Amino acid sequence: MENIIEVEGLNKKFPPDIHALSELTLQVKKGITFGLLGPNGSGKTTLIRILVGILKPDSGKVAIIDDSLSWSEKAAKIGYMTQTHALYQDLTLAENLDFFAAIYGLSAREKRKRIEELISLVKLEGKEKSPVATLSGGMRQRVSLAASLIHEPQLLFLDEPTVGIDPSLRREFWAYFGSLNRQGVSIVLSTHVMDEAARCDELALLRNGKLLAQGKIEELLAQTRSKNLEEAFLSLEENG
Amino acid sequence: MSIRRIFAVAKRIIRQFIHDRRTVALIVIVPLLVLSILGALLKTTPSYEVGFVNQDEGVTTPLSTQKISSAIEESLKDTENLKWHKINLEKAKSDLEDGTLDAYVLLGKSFSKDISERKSPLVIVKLEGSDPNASQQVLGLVNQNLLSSFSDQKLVDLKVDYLYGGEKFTSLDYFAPVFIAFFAFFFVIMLTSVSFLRERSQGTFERLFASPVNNAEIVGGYFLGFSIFALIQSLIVLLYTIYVLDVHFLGSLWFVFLIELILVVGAVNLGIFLSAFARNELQVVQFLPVIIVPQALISGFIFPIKSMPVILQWLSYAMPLTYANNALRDIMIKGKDLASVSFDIYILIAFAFLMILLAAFSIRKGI
Repeated sequence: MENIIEVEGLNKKFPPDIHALSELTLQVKKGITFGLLGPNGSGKTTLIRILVGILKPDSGKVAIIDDSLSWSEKAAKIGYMTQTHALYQDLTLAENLDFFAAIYGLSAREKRKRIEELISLVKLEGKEKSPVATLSGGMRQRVSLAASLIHEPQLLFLDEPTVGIDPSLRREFWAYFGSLNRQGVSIVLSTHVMDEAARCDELALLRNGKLLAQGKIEELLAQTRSKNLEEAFLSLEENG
Repeated sequence: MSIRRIFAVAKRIIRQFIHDRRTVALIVIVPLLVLSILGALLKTTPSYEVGFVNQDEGVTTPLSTQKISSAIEESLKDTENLKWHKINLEKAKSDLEDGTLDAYVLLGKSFSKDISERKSPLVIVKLEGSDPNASQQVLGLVNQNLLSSFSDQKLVDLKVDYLYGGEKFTSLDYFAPVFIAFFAFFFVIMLTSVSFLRERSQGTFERLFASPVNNAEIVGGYFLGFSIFALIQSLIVLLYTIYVLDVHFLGSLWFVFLIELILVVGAVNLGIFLSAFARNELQVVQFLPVIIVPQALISGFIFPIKSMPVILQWLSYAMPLTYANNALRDIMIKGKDLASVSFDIYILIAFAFLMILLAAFSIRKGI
């Protein structure tokens, strides 16, 4: 399929009466960076958790990667960077990466190669033997990204990936996301920061679990006759 | 120093407690639970079952055959803590072996003859012997009940024999096997539940559940990881008790490890199950007194099960440590093989399966 994700009429409620997602329908094309933009509580993380298979929707259809694959085969092609660092604090950086590499079935040689590449990518050379608990928040965020990339996934979910990292590294992350897209990797990332969302190829604007709009940034700006994303979001919110 | 600030801190703590209703409930429930169990246990006086085997052939006079032992047999009366069972030697031996009897008293064939000839008659007290405290109490009660029926007590030569253990057996010999089970059970539950809770709270489970790993692989990995440490711990405790504390050990080390492994499977999965009901490490630790203290009190660890009130006996039979303690004592003190403790092993396996089911249903709770 041309789309790597197709979601139709997705609903998810949490007790007592929170509508996290309401009749959500969207598509994500292969090989692009797709942004989920919305304030806290808009349903971004719930949608990602449904797409990675952690949560089950109450109703609706989800088609992801290739429907002929089993769930574990799909999971092997998915990378997921959670909003929390999701690392073992008492293990070292290298031990954390080694563990996640083993979970995805990498051989000893592949593990060594990937750990070396990723430590270099996230610029943490020399910190391999440092326990994660001793690293700063920004460093942990980088280790978390490395852990989600360890098995070279085809589809990468990043939940607020650049929170807590400095602007220069953020720029490098975005450059790296671009290079991943060129290699055919699709990225779905959530953000509530407008200038980050502006870097995505396509966006879905979410509010209270509902999709306000989906499309390329220029399409969204044209549709709302806005100068920037913030105005577009506010306009869609008022009319939605 | 500001009283107002002290009150502010105190008020905040009280409010936090009120919000954490489970902690408030446990603060009240745990002491009451422990006191109720202890009260019931300490109020109960242990009762012992003793067989009376009379092989006396009597003494034959020209007029009749007279059995002096008959008078003694008739004078035996059950008391609150000693019950007599008049049986033959074969039954006495088998009852002592399967734990129905705590001891038996044997009057020899020439009992009447020896007394009539002013010789010391043969009286053997055979004790089960695995619990030195119980042995002493039984011996004291038998002496008190039996010897009072002899007109000349100095004449009686009481020979004490033991099925297991012996005079050199101390309470430590009796407690060592259960310590091995208790330490493994306690630490594995505590470590698994805290580790699992950390996986939930630190988000690593979220990452794991988005990967190809499945529930069985996670539980299997936890079991393997923790059982290695539990077995190392058991080996250290065992070697320390045998070589440093000089505890008697008759059984096979492999049998001890097997029982331990089965117990650890149950403990790992119980830890996983418990972690699903806690939001933080404090709440996990609060579960431990509820799970561990009753088991320590009524699993035969300190107090013999058959001396407990009936309701506590039923409760003890619902607890896995009861079967682990029983099996380990049988192996370590009595030198029994696996076939002899097969019932305990089956129950421990059933407990492990039940815990695996509960863990499987709760593993993704709260993710």
